[in-house]
Amino acid sequence: MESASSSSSLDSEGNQHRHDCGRVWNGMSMDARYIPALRRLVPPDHRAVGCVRCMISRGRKRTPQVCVLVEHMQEHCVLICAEEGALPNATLKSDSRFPINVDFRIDIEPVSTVGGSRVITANLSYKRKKLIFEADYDDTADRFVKEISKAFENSKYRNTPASDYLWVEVYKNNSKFFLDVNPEDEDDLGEENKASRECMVKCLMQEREDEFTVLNEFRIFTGTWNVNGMAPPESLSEWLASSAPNEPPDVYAIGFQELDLSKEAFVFADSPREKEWLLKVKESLHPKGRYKEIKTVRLIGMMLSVFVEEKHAPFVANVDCNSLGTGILGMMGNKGGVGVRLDLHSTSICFVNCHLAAHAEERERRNQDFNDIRNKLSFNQMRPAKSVSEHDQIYWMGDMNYRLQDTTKQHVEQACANNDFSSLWERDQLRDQQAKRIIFIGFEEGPLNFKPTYKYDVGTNQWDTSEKARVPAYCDRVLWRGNNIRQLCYKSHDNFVISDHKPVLAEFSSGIRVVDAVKRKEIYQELMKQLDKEENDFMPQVTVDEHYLNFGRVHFYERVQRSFKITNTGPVIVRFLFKEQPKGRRYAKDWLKADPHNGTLKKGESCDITLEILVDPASASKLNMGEEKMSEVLVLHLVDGKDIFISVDMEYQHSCFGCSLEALVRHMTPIGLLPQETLIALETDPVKNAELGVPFETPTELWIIMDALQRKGLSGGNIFGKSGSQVEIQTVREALDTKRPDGQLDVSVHAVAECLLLFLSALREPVIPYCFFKKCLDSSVTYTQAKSVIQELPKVHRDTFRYLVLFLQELLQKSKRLEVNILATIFSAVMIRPPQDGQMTPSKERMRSVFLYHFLVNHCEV
Amino acid sequence: MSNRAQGGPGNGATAGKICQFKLVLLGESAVGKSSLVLRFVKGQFHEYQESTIGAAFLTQTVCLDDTTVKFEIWDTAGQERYHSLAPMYYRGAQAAIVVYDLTNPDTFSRAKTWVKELQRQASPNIVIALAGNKADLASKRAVETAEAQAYADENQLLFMETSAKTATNVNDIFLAIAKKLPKNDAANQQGQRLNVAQSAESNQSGGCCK
Repeated sequence: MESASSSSSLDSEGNQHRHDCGRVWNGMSMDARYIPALRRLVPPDHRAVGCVRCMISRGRKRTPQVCVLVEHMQEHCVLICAEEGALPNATLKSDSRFPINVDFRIDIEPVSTVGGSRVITANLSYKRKKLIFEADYDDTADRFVKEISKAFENSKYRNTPASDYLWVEVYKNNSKFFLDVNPEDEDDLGEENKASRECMVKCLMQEREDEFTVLNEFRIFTGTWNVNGMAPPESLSEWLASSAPNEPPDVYAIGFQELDLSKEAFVFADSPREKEWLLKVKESLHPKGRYKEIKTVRLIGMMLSVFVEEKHAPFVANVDCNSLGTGILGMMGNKGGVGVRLDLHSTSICFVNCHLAAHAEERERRNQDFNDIRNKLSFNQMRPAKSVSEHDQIYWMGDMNYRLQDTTKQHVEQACANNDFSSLWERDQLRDQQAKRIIFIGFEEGPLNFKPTYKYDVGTNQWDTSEKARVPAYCDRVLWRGNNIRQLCYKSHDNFVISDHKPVLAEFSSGIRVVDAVKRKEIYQELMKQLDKEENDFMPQVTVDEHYLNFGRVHFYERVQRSFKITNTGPVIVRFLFKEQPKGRRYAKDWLKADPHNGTLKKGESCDITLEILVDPASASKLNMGEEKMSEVLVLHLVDGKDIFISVDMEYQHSCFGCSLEALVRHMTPIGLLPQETLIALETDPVKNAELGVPFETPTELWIIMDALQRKGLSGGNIFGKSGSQVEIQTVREALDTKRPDGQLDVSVHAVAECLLLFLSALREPVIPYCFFKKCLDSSVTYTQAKSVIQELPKVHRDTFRYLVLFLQELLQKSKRLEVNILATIFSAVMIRPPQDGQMTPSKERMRSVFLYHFLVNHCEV
Repeated sequence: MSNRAQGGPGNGATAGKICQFKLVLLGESAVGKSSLVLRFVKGQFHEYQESTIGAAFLTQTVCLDDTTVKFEIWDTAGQERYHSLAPMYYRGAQAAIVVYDLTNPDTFSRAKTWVKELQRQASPNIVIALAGNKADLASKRAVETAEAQAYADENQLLFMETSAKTATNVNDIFLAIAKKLPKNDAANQQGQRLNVAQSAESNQSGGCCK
């Protein structure tokens, strides 16, 4: 994960590729205008399957975006991208990813028609992330959605197990400078930022490694011997403990070939010879050192053991080993290689022991064996897996089987007698092939100032006296690759006579990077401080010109606006939004609205945010009664940054809109002229605190509205067909709240009609009280049942209901343009309202409309 | 087997993991919450620090021996009218510093009610520190150290008298919190499980060392 994300953010080479050759298919599910942008977005080993512009809704937010379907190794992922710049030069930035695997769901809805155009809708989800995709319905969009759905189906039936979708990481936008993040994704983002911080620190620390590491000289002893399947001799000390008496090697890597030639060794993993030899090796290591076996790996006859001095053991990490047979099918391991890798302090080291193909004429085969081992031997416990070449230092030993060519046994014997080894090197196949850059590229080897180590008569120091009289050869070799390696010694030991090979050793003084813990901590802290500073300095910053907005006196249904200015004064793009209030409440009380309630500001850019108060029928009663505070604190949140509080205050003028019928029929004084406490008392106990001993049948306010409607004439067409203007509605409200109008209201009939509906829907308790709501729906089947419900209503509600029904009947008679079912729907909606927590459904709406309908078409018995 | 997890000595970077914690500062207005944060994060002090109208957000990292603690600091407005918004900030927080002004006994009483609210409403394993700020104004002291210490002991709070002006104990109090916070995954998961009712916001910063 770390490596994947680091490569996407840091590997500039990788980015370069991405610009060159993202594979884009100009398929039918692709909006072709985005092809240039996709080439920049999609890396070469991925494929863009489809791309459409769409609307994406997350929670309450709905934004235009571009949706892209990408594929990699038969896995798919949906990317939601932001589009920057204008087509065709637009850039796509992926701000969320929906991998199509077991956690993915898609639900395609039937094509719908919205405002004359056809829209295709799909619900997508990935784990907890959900979104709604909407696009104009055309062939491209249709095919695109089908492609997603197909990819999802295929994902369920794939033969290979699903990957962890690391390939999607390249689309992660780690940079904090592009704040294309959605608030719904914030939990994801937290992790992303953290991951990127950890990853960034790791990279920065690696860059500065030189500052907190020092090169320490370590003695590394390597030895190789083809033992011809023999049991070990009495001691190996002459070979293994041949270093200076007071300088025990720090590390040993001992390789054997033909350790076990028995048939069992081919068949069974276990070999008794391994134990014998290993024990002998341990006994024969330098007597001044105490060694810990780090790892032993064996493939049939090839064995490699690595030891370190005990004091170094705590600094050895990430040990892994593997083997590779180069025999038939790469399985028969009589030839091949074994390797051990480890980190010693901060230097990675790989040891390889190999046995390459025999016989003088098999040079090509040896070359191939070598290259197979170099290319295919890998250490798979490492994440990611490491190959041999990915190490700071490589020590490669073994029976390479390269021969001396174009020479004779006599010539070799002659040269050795004269200590003229250099004349032999020229004829050495290995050196020849290395010089031709076929094998061991980048490796070094010390001078072979010793006799060829093959082939001896067993038990002697005589070269092959058999009939074959093979030409002696330097079969057994040690080469190395890496910096700061100095060979101290490279030689063979003639005194071992059990095999047809002589053992070879090579000792090195190698520079190992050792961490200075104190220095490292200093640099680490310094880096952290620097990253903190960057993070804090690049925090989004804004100023607002007002923290307090006082709306003064506000009346029922009066639209009042105030605005403030928000300016991006920081160094980055700012995304702002109004945060939800505690306990999951909307960002403000129902009567308050911010526009825009989210947005983006470029550096130095300003925008005006308008706050609007509108006390509608739903809030009127609570504010009348002082049950809801007339203030609010809005939380303006900057994504990835701070919150700013914006306080809103108003003084709500209580009104007859929002009172109860019980209170209204028991007072004479206009409601607006009563002190609020009197109103609250009246509402709390209408009988006890009544102004009137004998209540009116119906509220005076309602009577005034009806009277005004009668005077203006009910015959002039659909009086509910238009809404009144703000001013007109305020005129009516003012009249109802402050004086008893005796003359005509100077407003249109539509305004009065609207006020009637507002009045009814603002009533603290609807004409059909909340507790009768259910009964009312249940009784909507017949007129008789409906009538019986009305009989049960409290008197003032019953009277008001009848009064309204009579009015509506008259209205229907006078206005030929009004249809009875429309009128029933309009009035049932305000007279028959569900309790606070009640959900409305289309069928409930129909039922309440039918309930009222009965009364409108039947003669009402008053 | 001597194979260890990666991140050992071999890879050149530090072995330390970064644990991220949400920390909230609470307390009466003008006790010095913003000044403490400013001193801790930027090493600065302003004699006339503007009143915070909102919740400032800053990050700061503290390096311990084996781990690195990254604080996401929410510095809240102290004015009473914003009290109802405080849960947005202490909800999901793993640490809180409740600040009072040791020259003003009312702010100490207010601090106690904040502590009570946190004990009732915040995560049950929240680490709370009590900071008696303005320790440089010793001549005007109105809350005795012993009294505050006794209260802190009773309620298992970390306690220090601090001065944002002179920097006394400022780093120390954050460091003490960093040390006390649980760094292992198990402890954090438990913390999350106990707070299932919390919204996504707590998840955002709730996990440690993922």
